[in-house]
Amino acid sequence: MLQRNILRQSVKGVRTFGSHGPQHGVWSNREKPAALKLKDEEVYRDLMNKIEPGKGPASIKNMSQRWSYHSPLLIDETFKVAYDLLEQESEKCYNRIDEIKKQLEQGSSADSSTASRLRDELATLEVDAEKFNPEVLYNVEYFPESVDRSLPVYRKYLERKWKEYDLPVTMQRLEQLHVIPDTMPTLDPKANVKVKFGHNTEPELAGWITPGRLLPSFAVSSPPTISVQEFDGINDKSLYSVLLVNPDTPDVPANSFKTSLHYGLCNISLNYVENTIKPLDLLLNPENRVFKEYVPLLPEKNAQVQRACLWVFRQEKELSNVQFSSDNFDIRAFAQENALTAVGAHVWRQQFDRSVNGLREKYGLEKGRVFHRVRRPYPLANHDD
Amino acid sequence: MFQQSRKVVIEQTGVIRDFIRHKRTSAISPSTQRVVNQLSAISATRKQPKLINLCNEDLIKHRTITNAWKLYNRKKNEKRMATLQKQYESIKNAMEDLKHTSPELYEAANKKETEKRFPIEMRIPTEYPPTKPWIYEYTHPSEKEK
Amino acid sequence: MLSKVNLRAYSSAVKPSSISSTLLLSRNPVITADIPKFEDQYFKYQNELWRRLMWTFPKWFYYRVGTLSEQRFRELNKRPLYNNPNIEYPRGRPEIRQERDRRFKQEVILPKTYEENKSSEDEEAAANTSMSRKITPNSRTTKADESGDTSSLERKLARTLYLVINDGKSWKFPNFSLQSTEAVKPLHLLAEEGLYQIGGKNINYFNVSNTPCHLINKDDSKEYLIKSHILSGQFVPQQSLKFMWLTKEELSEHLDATYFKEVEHLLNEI
Repeated sequence: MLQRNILRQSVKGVRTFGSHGPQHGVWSNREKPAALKLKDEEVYRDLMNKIEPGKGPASIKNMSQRWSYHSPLLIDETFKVAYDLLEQESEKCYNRIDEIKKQLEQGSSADSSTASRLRDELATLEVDAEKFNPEVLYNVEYFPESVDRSLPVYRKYLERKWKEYDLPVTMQRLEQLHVIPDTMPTLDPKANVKVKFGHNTEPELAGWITPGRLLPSFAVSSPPTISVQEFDGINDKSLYSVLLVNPDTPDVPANSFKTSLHYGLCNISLNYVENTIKPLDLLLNPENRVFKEYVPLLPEKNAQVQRACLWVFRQEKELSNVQFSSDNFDIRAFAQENALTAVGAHVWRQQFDRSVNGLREKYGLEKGRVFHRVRRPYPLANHDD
Repeated sequence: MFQQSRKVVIEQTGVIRDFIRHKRTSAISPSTQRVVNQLSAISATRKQPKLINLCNEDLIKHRTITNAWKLYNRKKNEKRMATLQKQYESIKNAMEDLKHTSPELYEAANKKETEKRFPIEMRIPTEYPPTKPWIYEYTHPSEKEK
Repeated sequence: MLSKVNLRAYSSAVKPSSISSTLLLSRNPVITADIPKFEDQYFKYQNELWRRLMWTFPKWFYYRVGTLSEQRFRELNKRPLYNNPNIEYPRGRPEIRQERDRRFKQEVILPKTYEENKSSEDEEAAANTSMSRKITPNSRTTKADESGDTSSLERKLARTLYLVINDGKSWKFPNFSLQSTEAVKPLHLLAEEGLYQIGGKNINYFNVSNTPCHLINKDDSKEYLIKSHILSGQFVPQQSLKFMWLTKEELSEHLDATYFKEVEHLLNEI
C-alpha cells in the first residue's frame, strides 16, 4: 500500500491548467515530481494571481471572513517580479543539474572523487533549484505532515523546523534528566525520533509524547510506535537498532541502581519515506528483528521516578545472534560490540501508580516489592542469607 | 490668606475640587490644555491601525518577495566585493611592478599628498538635474594671469 | 583573470620610453542612479505596508476646528464609509476611529499652496516671485540624450562617463608616454600635462591619487592607469582629434575586446 502510494506521488507530470499563473518558466514547465506542486488548484490560482477583491482567498474556509479579506496593496505586482527573478535563478540551477547528469552518465568510469564531488554538487543544486518555489513553501508551511520526504528540498525544510524546536527540547530533556551520560556518553543528533503509544485513546496521551513526560503505567502497556526521520546521508538499505533501557532499576544488594533492557530491536530497515516502526508490523513478522520483547517499565512502590531511555542506532552491518543480559545491561558495551552509532534518542518517565500491579500480572512478572520511603545508607536486604 | 493660596493652587494645577453647578468652562487652564493637545497628537490612543493579518497565499507571496530581495542583495554585494578585491589586486600589482621598473616613479607615486584637499566643486547626485547640468566656464589659474 | 593580474614581470633594465601613463578621466553622475525594476517595485510595496501601518493623522492638532484651513482640509479629505449597525457589509464592517477606517491606509491630502490648473502665462508671471509657486523639476533626460551627442558632458546624467579619444586608428583612453629625453616625471603629472596638451587647459579636474590603479603589461611597454574626475570646464581637442564621453556598456562596444576586459573592473557601473 505504502509502496503504491509513493509510486503515485512520484508520477511525473506537467501542470495541466493553462489559464492561471505564469507558464513560461522552469517552475511551471519543467517535468518534475508532482509532490513539488500544489495539490489544491484554487489555492494555486490565488497564489499565482491576484486575489479577486470580492471573492477572497480559497484558503479561508469561512465565507464571510473570505469575502471581507483585503490583500496588501501592490503585493501581486511585486510578487510577479520576485517570482520571475527567483525562477531565473532556479533555471540556472536546473541547467547545471542537466549538465552534471550528462557528465555522470558519460564518465561513469571516471575517478570516484570527481564523481562524488559532482554528486554532492547535484544534491545541493536540487535543493537550491526548488527552495524558493512558492508552491514548495506553501506545502512545507501548511502541510508539513504530508510532504514527500523523498525529495531533498522538503527534507531540508523539515530539518530546519526540527532544529528550531524539537531538537533543542529533546536535547535539553536528555541532559537535564542525565540520560546523557547515565546511558550513552553523548549524542550527535542526526534523526528526529518521535514516540507514541497507539493503544491510548485519551487525547492527552494519544499523540506524540513530549520528551521527559511523566506517563502513567497504563499508557505504556503496549509497545510504542517509533518514528525515525532521517534528513540526509542515508541509502535505502540503512538498518537501525532500537534499545529501551531503564538506568534506575533498583540494585538491592549493592544499595544502588543498574540498567535493565526493556525492549530490543535490530535490523530494522528504514528510509526517508518509510520511517515508522509499527508494533503490529513487528508482531506479524518478528524474525531476526525483535531480540527482546517489550516489557514496560513498572516501578515498584516507593521506588523513585524511573527514566525510560529510548536510543536509536544506525547499524553498520546486519546483526545476528545478539548477546545480551537484559537484567544487567551495559548499553555502552553493547553499542561498541555491535558497531552501533547513536543517531537519536527519546526519554519519558514513570512511577508507581495503581495500574502497575495489574500490568505486572498481565506481563507475568512476580508481585512487586515495596521499598522504604526513605533510602537508607546501608543495603536493604542481604542476599547471602 | 487661605483664599489666596487656594487660587494659586487652582491656577497651577487647573483642578477645582469644589462642586460647581453650572458648566465647567475653565476647568483646565490654557497652558494645561496646550499640553493635553500636544500629548494627544503623539499618543497612540485610538490612532493605531489594525494589525495586518495575511491569508496563507499572501503570506507565501510576502515570503517569496522577501526571499527574492535577500537573494538580489546578496548577489549585488558579492559582485561589489569581487570588484573591490580585483581593484585592490590591480593597484597592488601596479605598485609592485613600478617599484622594480622605476624606483623614482615609485617614490613619486607613493609620496604623501599633504596639501591635497577634497574639491568643493564636486557635487552629490540629486534626484533631478540642476537647470545648468554642467559648468563649462572654467579658466585655469595660469590662463587667468595672462 | 586574477591569476593573470598577479603575474609580475620583473625586469631590471627598462627603457623609460616604454613607460606610459593612461588617464581614466571620468565624469561622475549628476543625478541619482536609475532604480532597477525589482528594487523599485519592492520599495513601493514596502512603502504601501508602511502607510498601512501608520497611525492616524492628528488633524485636530494641525487644523484647529472651525478655522478656514480646517474647512479646506475637510473638503479635500472625505470621511470614510460610516459604520451603520443596521447594514450588512459584504466586504467587512468598517472600523472607524478618529474618522479613519483602521483596516486601510489613510490617505491625507494637504491643501496646496498654489492653484491647480492655472494657465501657463499666469504661472510665468508668478514664477520666481511667489514663494508658494509650484515646483516642477527638470527632466532627467537632456538635449544631448535626445540628439545622441556622445561628445557632450551633459549626456547620461545618471551614469559615470569616461573620456575616450580616437587618434585615427582606434578608440582608446588617452595615453601619454614618458619621453626618454626629459627627466623622470611622476605618472599623474605626465597624465595632467598630456591632458592639457590634447584637451586645452580649461579643465578643472580632481586627481584621485598619485598611485596608479592598474598596470597593462605588454611585451615592450608598460601602461600605468591613473584615475581622475572632471569637475567643470570641458575637453576641447587641440589637434584634429575625435573624442567621446561613454558609459561602461558603450565602452565595451568601442574599445578593443581584450583591452576592455583588462580594465573592466576599474569602470563604474552606475
